[in-house]
This record gives sequence, C-alpha cells and structure tokens, in this order.
Amino acid sequence: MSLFQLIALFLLGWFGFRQFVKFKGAPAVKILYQLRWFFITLLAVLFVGDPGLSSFVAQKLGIGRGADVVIYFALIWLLYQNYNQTQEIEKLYDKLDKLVRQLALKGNHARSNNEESNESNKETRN
Amino acid sequence: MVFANILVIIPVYNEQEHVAGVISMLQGAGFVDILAVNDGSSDNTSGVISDVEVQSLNHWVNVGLGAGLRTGFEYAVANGFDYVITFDGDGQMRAEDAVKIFEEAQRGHDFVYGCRDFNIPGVPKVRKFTNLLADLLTAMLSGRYVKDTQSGLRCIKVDLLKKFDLKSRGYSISSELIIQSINHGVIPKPVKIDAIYTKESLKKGQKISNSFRVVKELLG
Repeated sequence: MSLFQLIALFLLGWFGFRQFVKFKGAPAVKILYQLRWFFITLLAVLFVGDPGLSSFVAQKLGIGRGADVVIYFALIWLLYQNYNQTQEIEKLYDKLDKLVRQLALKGNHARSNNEESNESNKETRN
Repeated sequence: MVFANILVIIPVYNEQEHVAGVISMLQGAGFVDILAVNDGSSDNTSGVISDVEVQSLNHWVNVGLGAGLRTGFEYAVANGFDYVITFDGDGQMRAEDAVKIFEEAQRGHDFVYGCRDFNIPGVPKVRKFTNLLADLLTAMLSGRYVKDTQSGLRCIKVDLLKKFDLKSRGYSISSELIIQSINHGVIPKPVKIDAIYTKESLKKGQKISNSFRVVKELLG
C-alpha cells in the first residue's frame, strides 16, 4: 500500500467516523441524507483501496485511465453539489428578504397603532 | 408649492452624513410625504432619521437596494399614494429634478426617470462603461434600449407599480423596474437631470463589480 493510499484512507476513515457519530439519534430523514454521504465515502474508499477497480470501470466506460474516471465523476458530483447549495442559499436569501421587509412594514403598523392608542388615551384622560 | 399624495422613497444604507440634508432639501422643495427606508445601516443613519420629521422603516439587516425600494413601494400601495418618487440618499441628486420628473409624470407619463449625462467632464470612464453595460443588458432583456437605466431618480404611478412583480434584492432593481414597465406597455420617459458627483458617490457607484452583480442578479 502506497503512502498516498494510507493518508487518503486515514482521512476517509476519519470522515466516515464523523458521519457515523451523527447517525446516532438522528431522525429518519437525516439518516437518509447521511447515507448519501456514507455511500460516496465508501465509493472513495473502494477506489483508493483498490486502484485496479477504477481502471476496470474506466475500461468498461471507454474512458481509458482509471484516474480520469474518478476525476470526471468527482467533477460532476461537485458541480451538482455546488448548484444545489447555490439554490439553497438563494432560497434562504428570499426568505430573509421577505422576513426583513415584513418586519419593517409590521413594525411601522405597530408604531402607528401605538401612536393612535396613545392619542386616544390622551383624549380619554382629557 | 406642496405636493400631496406623492411618496418620496429614500433607500438608505450607511448615509449618516447625507440623509438629513437630503430630507430637508426635499421638504424645502415641497414634498410632505417622505419615507426613509433604512436598510440595516451599521452607522448612525437610523438615529439621524429618527431626529428629523420623516416617516421611516427599518430593515433589521442589510438586504439590498432592491429590498429597500420594494418595502417602500409596498408602503405606498398600502397607504393609497398616487405616485412614488425614488430618490438616492447620498446627496447626489437635486430636489428640483424630483419636481421636474413629477411634473412630467403629471403630463400623462406613468414612468418618468432622471437621465444623467455621462459625457460631462469628471465622470470616470469606468462609470460610463458599467452604465452602458447595464443599459445593454436591460435592452437585451426588455427588447428596447433605454438610456441610463441605473438612475435612482424615478417617478412611477402607483397604479402601474401595482402591476409589477418585483423580485430584485440588490442593484438589479433599477433594470427590473424598466423591464417590467416595458413589459406592461409603458416606455419609461427620460428627463435630463444633472447629477452631483461627490467623492463618496463615485466610490460607491463606480465599482465594476456592481455591474457584474446587476448582470448576475438579472440572469440568476
């Protein structure tokens, strides 16, 4: 086993352990989400542990080199993740925008109501 | 002269130095309904606004110019105003120009805006370029070329505003307003105005990154 494999497997093992810790007591939906990451980590462990596997897949897919298969799939995965995260951030910004503007407008109504009730209180007192 | 049923919306972000002057200038010109929308300023803008006789709304966090204007528009619709005038809070505009565009709107134009001349001496080339870029992009999206789409001085009839479905949070609101107006069959009418270029306004407006942000927001 090469030095690279040792380092990569150690890092992947640590990453897998962190996911395993999060499994405990997590709701079903979270477990499904974590399983997706667990599957990706397992795939990475297999490719790092047995480089012949990526060459086999590359041959079957007609790509050529095993390393290229890993790079291509990693790029597609990263692109997909990036797109998803950008969409999520955009949704959060939309929610923030709505919340901040509603608070501003409602704050104004609340202030107007307070002013009105203060004035009517004054009139009642007088 | 006093202008009734017109709401002047001033979106402000960190404008403690200028906002009071801008408000008193507008009040001096006869505008009675002025709304300052403080978009989460981190300086004393909020304190300055509360010290002057003006309506104000506060965003708890900074969302962007578009969000500030949309809050103001919503307020105008809810309170039954006939027209809104949008006016920058950085002291770059003159109250007489707001009067000028309002008078033009009263002649039957539902959307009038202040069109600046970028060929006067002192305007940086990068600013001309970024404005041209934004104008071209707006033209591509609306199907009609309109000059100086990024001008912050506009007068819009509230009846027209009610038809808009505005989404922009940031600087792209300027282009979005023009696009939606054209889509509703109203070609914005330009009125020539003089822009006052201060050191701060040039610093804020000339960033080329702002143009790219407009492009990104419009396409995104």
